[in-house]
Amino acid sequence: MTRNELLEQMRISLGLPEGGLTIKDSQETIDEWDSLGHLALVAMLHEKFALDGSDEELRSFRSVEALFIRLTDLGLIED
Amino acid sequence: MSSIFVKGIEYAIPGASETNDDLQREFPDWRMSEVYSKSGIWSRPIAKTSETASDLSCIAALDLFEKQPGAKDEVDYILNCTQSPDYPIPTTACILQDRLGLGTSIGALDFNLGCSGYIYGLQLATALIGTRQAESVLLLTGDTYSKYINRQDRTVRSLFGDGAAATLVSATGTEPMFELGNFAVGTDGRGAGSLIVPSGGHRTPKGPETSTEFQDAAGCTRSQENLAMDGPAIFAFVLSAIPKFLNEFLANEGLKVDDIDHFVFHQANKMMLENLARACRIPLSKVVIDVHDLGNLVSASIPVALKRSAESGRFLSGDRIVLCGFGVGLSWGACICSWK
Repeated sequence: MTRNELLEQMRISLGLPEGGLTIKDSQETIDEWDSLGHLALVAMLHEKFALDGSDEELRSFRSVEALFIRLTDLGLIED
Repeated sequence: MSSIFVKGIEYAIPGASETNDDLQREFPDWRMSEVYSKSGIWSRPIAKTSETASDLSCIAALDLFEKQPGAKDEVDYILNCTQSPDYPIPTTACILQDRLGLGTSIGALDFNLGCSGYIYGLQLATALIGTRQAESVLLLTGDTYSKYINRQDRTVRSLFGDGAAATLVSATGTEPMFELGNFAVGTDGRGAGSLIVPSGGHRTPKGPETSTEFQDAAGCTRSQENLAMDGPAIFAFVLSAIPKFLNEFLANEGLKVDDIDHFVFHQANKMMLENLARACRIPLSKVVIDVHDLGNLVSASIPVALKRSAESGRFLSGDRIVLCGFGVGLSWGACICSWK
């Protein structure tokens, strides 16, 4: 999966309109990214990457960029 | 081992409820319509200050005795599952024995579990009856989590409701609700901090520091004396551990998802249940979801969902039903039963 594809999945999970999410966004900039919105993102990550939930950074990310960095480190997404 | 049955379930919830409109008025910046669209929870019954979990359990039990003539005289054991005891000491089950007017020759104990508590309670009741230590067990599952929740913590205040259920488990099969089959349980204490009231026990006694409120990384306000929930951690645990656990449980029974007619999971919230169903490859039509006017009733959630599903005519005689609870501890369990 590419970063753009992941960004699109995140946008859909958060229920945002097209173009409503960018790499610069975070929980602080997106109202829909509240605690339940974050659970929707966790569910999406579990579905797309079969993640087992043990990765603390994957549960606690608070920005798009932080998630991109972690998934890139894990070799799960590409530019 | 001879067959063991659930002969009746009754439940009690407080008269007052807190709706999403109430929360929206109190906190205009909370986006309650979006909370509802994800959680499926519109309102939550909330106990009065003077109303305890044991009060609700007592009401449920008395209702059960009224509907099951003779049951009161037959009960020879009380299992009381609660994380909201009347006192640290003594055992709330002992107080309930007295309040319910039961004989003094019975056993009575509390056990401290939450979302998995009903499964563990049924398992304990089955063990007591199967080994002839008891013949008729009154299983009470009740909590008032609202008393642990900080009013400004939107992560938990929008989810949890108060309530109790009373279940009669017996070896006699006269007009039972369902027959109990096998059980499987699991525990992972590494997740203990995922849902916790940090202060008030002996590890961190209450004091001026523990009552001081703070804001967490998500901007939610609470003190160490309030319920704290790491929602993503619990969500990730459920989606990772429960599908594997359930598939192994069914395989041990020689069954597959297709062989099961209904799944009654712990009623955490709609989003959790829908994602869990997808992860387990269970058609959503087989999953009971009953949270709209109850919220998460902790250990009472499964029996209340069972009772309300039964009342709606959802279950047919012969239906295979899997009950599965998971959550605080981390603790989980499942059992299979056959609807009568």
